[in-house]
Amino acid sequence: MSEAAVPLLETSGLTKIFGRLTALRSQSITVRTGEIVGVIGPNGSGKSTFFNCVTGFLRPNAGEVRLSGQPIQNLPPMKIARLGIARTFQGTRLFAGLTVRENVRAAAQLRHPSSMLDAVLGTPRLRAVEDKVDAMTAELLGLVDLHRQADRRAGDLPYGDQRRLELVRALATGPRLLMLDEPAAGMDAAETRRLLELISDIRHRYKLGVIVVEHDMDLIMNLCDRIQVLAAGETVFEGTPAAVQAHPRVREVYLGHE
Amino acid sequence: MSTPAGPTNAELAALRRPAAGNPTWRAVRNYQAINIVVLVTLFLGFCTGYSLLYPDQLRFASLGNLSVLSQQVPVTAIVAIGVGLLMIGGEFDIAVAGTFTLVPFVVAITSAGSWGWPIGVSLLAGLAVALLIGLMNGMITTRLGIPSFIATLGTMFFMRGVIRFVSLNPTTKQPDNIAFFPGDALKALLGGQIIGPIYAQMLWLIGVALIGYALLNRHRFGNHLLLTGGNRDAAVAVGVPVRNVKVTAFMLCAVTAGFAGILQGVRINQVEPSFATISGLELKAIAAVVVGGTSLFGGRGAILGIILGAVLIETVDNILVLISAPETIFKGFLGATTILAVILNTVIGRRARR
Ligand SMILES: Nc1ncnc2c1ncn2[C@@H]1O[C@H](COP(=O)(O)OP(=O)(O)O)[C@@H](O)[C@H]1O
Ligand SMILES: [Mg+2]
Repeated sequence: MSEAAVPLLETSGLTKIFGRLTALRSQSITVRTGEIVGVIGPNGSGKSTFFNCVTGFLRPNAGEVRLSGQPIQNLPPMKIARLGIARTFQGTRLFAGLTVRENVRAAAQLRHPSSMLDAVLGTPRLRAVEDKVDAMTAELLGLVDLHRQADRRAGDLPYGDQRRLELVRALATGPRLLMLDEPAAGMDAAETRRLLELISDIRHRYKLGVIVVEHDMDLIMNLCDRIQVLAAGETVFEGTPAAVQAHPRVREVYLGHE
Repeated sequence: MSTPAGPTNAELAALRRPAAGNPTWRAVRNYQAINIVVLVTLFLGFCTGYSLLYPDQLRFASLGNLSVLSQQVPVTAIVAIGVGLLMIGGEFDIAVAGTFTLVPFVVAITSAGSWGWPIGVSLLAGLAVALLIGLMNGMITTRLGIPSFIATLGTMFFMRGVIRFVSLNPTTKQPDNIAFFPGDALKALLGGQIIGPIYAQMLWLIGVALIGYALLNRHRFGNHLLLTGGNRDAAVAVGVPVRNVKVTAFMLCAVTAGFAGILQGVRINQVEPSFATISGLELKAIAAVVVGGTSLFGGRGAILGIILGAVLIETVDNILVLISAPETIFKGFLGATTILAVILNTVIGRRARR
């Protein structure tokens, strides 16, 4: 596979300051399609802040975010989502009152608009669009084994299932870049293993670049092509899983006694 | 290599089919406030039976009273549909009584006397005023980040002031009612008798309800509204323009309130400035909406429930008037019903799902 000249995502000099605290300092990262990049670091090291700056939920104080070369750091988060960056949140943000199916449908529908006339008249065109959305929803729910729970209220699912639902809801928006904030939190070892297989499967199936923030070192080391290590907003190191594990300063700031 | 065990083809096919049953009926069944609606339907049945057996004691099922109801229920229901859509999106409009009064006020004044605009132009002016009120409510809420409860409280007082200023009689120092005679054709169109106790307002309610239903259940806007009210961050993350959705909902709410105000003005041939202050229309609408199963916190609700809620609220009001109960009892009933419905919607609903 030939490397694309323009990376999918590229940040440079990304800085976010909260009052006297620099939560993220001059961060740079590059992600290409088909690549899984991990971001690790202790609590409060700026990982979620990095996510929020890329997805437009926070406005960075300085620096650039480019999606396929296009600067996006000044766009509102809704526009960024529409350009193809999908994210999950640390701690789920589901539409708890909607069913599992409706959660995914809602996201899938954003790429399949229908006109008011179609809506009122219930035209064949509306049917066709709805069929497409239903098919996509079915495929995605099948992917995470939630197809038997399709009509349950999303808020009633066990936590692990909620996280998987949030992941496929993000996928349903048809993204180019998928950003997962601690997707394995609250999952047991078996669930985490299945999550790992799922993420590495979907990056090819849907031609994605993926960024994963995670504390589970087993997941990170086995899943990622590259890992960036943050500490107190600073980039400490970036390299392959093997290099990260070997790096003395990384062991010191993050892996601790390991 | 290995992927999670996927569904079988049969399971996939089943998943593609919409869940069994008519979606509207399914939505009704899912209403957490369905208990109240059933309870009160029984209550209404009782009242009807009682009034048929003892017409001298309760004139509920009389032709005259049913005519009053069929003209009054749609007005409240139309306001409630607007308030309900907005509430599904997670916001409140407690200025509806002001909009309800100001819009027909503008139409009545501009179409008569020294202004003398053609009624069509005046109606457009009324629509423009409604859109402007909604826009103002929406902008204050979404751009300035002021909670809609407070923002619309502000616009409510503003509208009360405008209405009072314009209608104030310099000699009596009291606001005058403004006469509203928009012509026979419009009167027939907006308030004519269709057959028996059925009046045109009923048809307008059906029209507004169908539009509301299409918007909420079939159109992307309804999807966006449910998501915005359901979880704002998640809605943004899946590309919902939450601010625009909310502003649009505020505008829809103002337009329905203004339209209902015109229906009422046409029926009683005048616009009453005091209505903006003392009607408690916002309480009625909110009560109707939550009794109909809409979440006070946004993210769920449906048109049919809102209409049933309005029918319930108006009928209870009507019966209290028939039995000559003091007016304060109705306000108390509104408050108690709203709180009870919210409790049923959240607490008991949660328990039932376990
Ligand atoms: N909205 C905010 N306002 C003020 N401080 C914040 C905000 N968000 C995060 N922070 C602070 O920024 C630092 C980095 O937070 P975060 O990016 O959430 O860390 P991580 O995700 O790596 O645990 C923390 O000290 C946190 O308290
Ligand atoms: Mg975090």
